[in-house]
Amino acid sequence: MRSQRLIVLSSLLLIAAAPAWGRVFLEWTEPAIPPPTRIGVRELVVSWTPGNVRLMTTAKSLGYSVFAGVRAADAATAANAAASSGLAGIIVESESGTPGSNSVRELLERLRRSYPRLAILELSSQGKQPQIRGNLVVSRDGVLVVSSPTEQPWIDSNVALARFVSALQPNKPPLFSFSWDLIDPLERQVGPRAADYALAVAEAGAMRADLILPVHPNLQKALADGNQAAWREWERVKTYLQFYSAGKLPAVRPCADIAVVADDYGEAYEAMNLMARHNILFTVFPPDEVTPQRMARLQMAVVFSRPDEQGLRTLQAFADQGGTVVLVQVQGHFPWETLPSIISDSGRTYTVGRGRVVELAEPIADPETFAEMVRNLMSSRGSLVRLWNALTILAFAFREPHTDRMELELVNYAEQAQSVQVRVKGLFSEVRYETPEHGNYPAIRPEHNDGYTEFVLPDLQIGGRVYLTSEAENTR
Amino acid sequence: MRWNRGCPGRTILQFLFLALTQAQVFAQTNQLVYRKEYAMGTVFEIAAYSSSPSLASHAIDKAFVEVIRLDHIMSDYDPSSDLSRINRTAHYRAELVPADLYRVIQQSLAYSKLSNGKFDITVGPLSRLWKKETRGGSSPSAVQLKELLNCIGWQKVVLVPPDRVEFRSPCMALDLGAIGKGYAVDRAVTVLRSFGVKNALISAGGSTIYGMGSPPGLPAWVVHLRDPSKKLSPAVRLNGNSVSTSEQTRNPRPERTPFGHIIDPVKGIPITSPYSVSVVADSATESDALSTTLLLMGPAEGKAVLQGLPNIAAVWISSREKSEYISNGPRISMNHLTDTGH
Repeated sequence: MRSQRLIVLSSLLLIAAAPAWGRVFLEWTEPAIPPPTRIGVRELVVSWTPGNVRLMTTAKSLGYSVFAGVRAADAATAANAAASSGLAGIIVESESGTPGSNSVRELLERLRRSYPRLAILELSSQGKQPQIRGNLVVSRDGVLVVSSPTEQPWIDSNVALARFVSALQPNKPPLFSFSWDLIDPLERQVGPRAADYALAVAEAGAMRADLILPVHPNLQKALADGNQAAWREWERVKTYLQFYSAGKLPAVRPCADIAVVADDYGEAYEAMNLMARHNILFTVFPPDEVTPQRMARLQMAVVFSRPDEQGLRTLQAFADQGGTVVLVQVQGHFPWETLPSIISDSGRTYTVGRGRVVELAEPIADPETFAEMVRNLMSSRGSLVRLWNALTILAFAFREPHTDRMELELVNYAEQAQSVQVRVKGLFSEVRYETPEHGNYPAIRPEHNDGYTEFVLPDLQIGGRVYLTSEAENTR
Repeated sequence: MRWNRGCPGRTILQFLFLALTQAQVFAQTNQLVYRKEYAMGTVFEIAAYSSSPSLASHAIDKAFVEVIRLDHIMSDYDPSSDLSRINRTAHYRAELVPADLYRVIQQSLAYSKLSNGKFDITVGPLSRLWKKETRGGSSPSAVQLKELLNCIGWQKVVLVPPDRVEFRSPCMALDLGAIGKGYAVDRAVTVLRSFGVKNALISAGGSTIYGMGSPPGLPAWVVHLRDPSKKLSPAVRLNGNSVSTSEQTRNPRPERTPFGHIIDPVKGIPITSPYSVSVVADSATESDALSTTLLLMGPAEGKAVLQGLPNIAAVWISSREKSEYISNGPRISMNHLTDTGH
């Protein structure tokens, strides 16, 4: 009885602690649904169809904040109906699903003005199920197999998408979703494992992104029926939901080594994806935001879209102070063209003050080589975060403004416990580590080496968080 | 479109319809079950056809448990693995090892003997040195290399039956990277068989692939081989045998040589080879070990070594369409463009 009360209490605390970032919306399709206190999530998304009206009503009466999932074409009608029926909001998917569609954003702005009390969110539905991808191509027709030297694991992540969407709406967390990649009939019937749900929650939480988590229909039914096995699985997922709704440094800002300057998602996608895969921390902003403030603390800019003259001057000044600028097939004249340069197969490199500008004449043909080139160009100044023994782990770094406190989020896409060696730029005296499974670990003793802090994290199963505090911060 | 899926009622009807039709089809035929798992620094994948998908799924789970168990024994990244332990303690001291590790070392030494030392699991100290260099460390000096070459040598590994291993060198360390995955694949095959799975394909990171039985309606699993020339379209049919492919790591900075994960145990430096080598053999352990061996030896020497071995085929392919081929049984087809799909 007491433990039941504790579970209810902790669930209430979990759903009451709705953070400004890292929200998880559950996508529900089945007619029956358990109450939010048991599920551990209060925000529910239901597809906007006549057949779902009853589900929306039921969910609302149970205490859910219900959002209607609509296509852009239906958004105006849905907003009107949602406002009058007391829904929490609507989530709008553009026709193409591509982030950055101006027509959708204009529509949403119009709707926000018309329905100021209704949450109107834009969904980027081009997400992928976070996972480690295999080499076999399994399709309805069979299995395609190509032998190769041993392949390093390839991570399907949503980092590129989240970063790009963040650039479009800098003051709001990106919101994305995905469909489960269930390959064989049995898997399609059974649905994803708890670890798969947990990984999706961990990835979004680690990126400070909002996620619409699709719940497999059979799991929905089993949870609604009170199936014990299903609830045991869901309790594991709830551990992750709770962990990622309870970040302790809510004001943190993402750190990056590199700026990706782009206004076309498709054009920059491969490069961003590869940089994410190589744990190169990057931020994205459009070409009209290339300012000295945005470039501060960065080492490099990879430019896909041409900035205006002011932006080009900012890039030149950035290079002059030791930064590296890589222009990927950007056309036109540039202020550094009169400076000495070296021509190679891939393009032209200008020495600009203490830095350089590399103009690539061709589009990125081999993204792997490009990511390697970026890492090599960065190597002289060292990246903010480096991981070893971590082929399946991505790291995300955040800094609390006006302090020397940092937060690292790590996500292990292999879904199995692993120790990982971490090196962070700067000298930090206190390293605290917590994971959803174990909670807080005893303080980890860092080593300082040549301006870097090094430490080893044990047992990184799926997600983990590290708080770093500098000596100066501790004595403040 | 995410929100364009119709009402749930229709979805359920579609689901039931699909489930019913699939049930009718699968009652007569086998169903595909596919799973993947990260182990040994890469992705292991198993695709099986079975009339009992839940049993096959369970068998695959057990096979992965076995692979992960072996990873914990043979990993040189994990300091708590048995391999790491003997790398620290077996110098002039016979250390107890698990049966699997004993067996892998025993088989490795046989390949060392066969290849006259070209295949050598004692290259551990050199592998570490060159890995460090790849990560930005300084290039090893001639003195360093000479010192480390003195550490290694397969003849300095002594097996003390039934379960002990001793290194007759003060600084030796084993690296099972050229055979461990093959052994793990063979063990996975054994586990799958023990659960009654007859038709499955097991892949360790794409470099070692074993075909058990065949997919429905076909005589074998067709595996397309790595083709640096992009013109030869080599392929092999597997049914109760394995193929492995080895190639030196691509050097992202050609001005910096030598480079790569495959080290010549005689010279102590990464080899430079234009070839990708694929080897077909009865077991995954054998194909894995031989593919690295034959890359190190090159076509002329490699073919001579294979003369006496039954049921082996090998192909060396370079990016310039140069290829060398030998077979003592299995056939590797070239320009295999029309009949490989299934």
